[in-house]
Amino acid sequence: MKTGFRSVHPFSAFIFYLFVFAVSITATHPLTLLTAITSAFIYDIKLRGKKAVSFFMKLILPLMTVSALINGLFNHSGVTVLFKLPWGNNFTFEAVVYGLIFALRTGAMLIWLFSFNEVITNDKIIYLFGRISPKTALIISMALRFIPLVISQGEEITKAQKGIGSAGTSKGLIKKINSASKRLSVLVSWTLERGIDTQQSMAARGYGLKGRTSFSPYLFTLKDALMLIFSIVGAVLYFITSDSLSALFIPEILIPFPDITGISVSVFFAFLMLMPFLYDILEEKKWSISR
Amino acid sequence: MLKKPSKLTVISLLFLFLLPPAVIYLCMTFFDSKSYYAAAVLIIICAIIPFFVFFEKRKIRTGEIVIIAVMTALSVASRSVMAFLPQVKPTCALVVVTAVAFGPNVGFLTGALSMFLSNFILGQGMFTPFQMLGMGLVGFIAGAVFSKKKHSEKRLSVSITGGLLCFAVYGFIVDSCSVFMLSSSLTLSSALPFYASGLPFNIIHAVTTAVLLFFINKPMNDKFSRLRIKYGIFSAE
Repeated sequence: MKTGFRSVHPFSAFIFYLFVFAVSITATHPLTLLTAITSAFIYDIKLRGKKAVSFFMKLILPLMTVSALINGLFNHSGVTVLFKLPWGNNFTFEAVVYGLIFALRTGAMLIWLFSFNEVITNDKIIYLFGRISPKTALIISMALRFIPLVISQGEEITKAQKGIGSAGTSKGLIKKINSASKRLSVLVSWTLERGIDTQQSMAARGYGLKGRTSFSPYLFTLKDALMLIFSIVGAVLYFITSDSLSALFIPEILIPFPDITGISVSVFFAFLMLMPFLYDILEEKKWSISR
Repeated sequence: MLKKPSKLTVISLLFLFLLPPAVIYLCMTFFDSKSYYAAAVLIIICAIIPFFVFFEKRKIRTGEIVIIAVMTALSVASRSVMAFLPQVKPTCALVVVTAVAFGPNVGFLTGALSMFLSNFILGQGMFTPFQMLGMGLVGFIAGAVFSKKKHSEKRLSVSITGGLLCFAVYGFIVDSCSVFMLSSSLTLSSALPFYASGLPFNIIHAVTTAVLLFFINKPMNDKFSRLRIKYGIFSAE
């Protein structure tokens, strides 16, 4: 059984992540963006430890530099001209700052994606989309079952072909490709027949008949409802305060100091985005006390 | 029975071309914060949804589910089977073969799901929606162009078209993702460096796809028709 934020009902967790992604990728005010990226980073450290830090150093920081540079080089609008580029265009402070803001967005999104992959696991994705689109979910789960089968069968075919001296020993690109496509075609025949077997056995057990229900291991409890409500409230607040919590960078940097609503909404955002982290920490505390 | 899929194809094409402008209009009027990435993802979702909705609503043909599932699994798994030839990613070739044999709708679903599922293994990223749309469209277009023709006459044309689609459609859409992610101003001069840096990779991908298609298209089609005769459950659209 998964613990902490990973035990939250998939639907609530998914809505939470939708909210977080939407904020990360559309926010303009530095306060909101910093909230998003910091809380993502904190949870990432909780989940992955040192790897999270090195990811931040190796990918996010260079990304910010590159984005600031590219924007400075290709975006010439802005009031504060730092210097003239050799081909006559302006290199402006505003464009560089805008590039940094842009990189903050992408960075926040990338870091959140790590915990997304950790929390919303594949079975949860199938569970979620199976509700909306059962046929697609069936295809996905069939295909997921087939992937390891195909890989192991592919290895067996390669071994057999090597045994009769057809694969791996031949030289030359054309011959290599020919032998590879031969193996591929053997694999395809095998997989297709296997697929038909699966389909026929499913039909024999009454798949797709009326009145069949499916099992799911997830329970929707009070904490999941709360999580869901918080996320929706967060989304609504984000939409309402999109005026007071927005900033302008081009042609002039205008970052309004947030008013009292802006500040309280930001505090709420920080609380909401730290939720996964708090969840995990509280559960660990509970566990250590109960021991 | 034969007319139905083509009607669905027309409707899904309409959706594909009408919804995105509507989304762009909405984004322009309601959000003034410039997030091209968010707008692009919304558009992509709008473009992908109709295919899945029609697939869901349409009377199911069991053979179709098997074909999509199996070909998706194959195109995901073939990456690791073919790992000894670097840069050869058979996904695109397999999607085109499936589309040519079973029509545009199966092609789209196979392409989109292949990318979605390979990201189950590699981890979902910011590229996922773009890859899904790109590969889906490759399948859709290949299916729309070739599914009505005879299998025997199109070995070379399928391989060339497949390579071109891989380069122009998939490469372009996936490279666009990095433009939307990293560039804050959408002008030709700021977008060009991203496309240029993706160019060599796309060319290799396209050429390998074309070569692979040249070799596997016929044997694969033979296989499909053999199964058609043996089990009698698949029919091309």
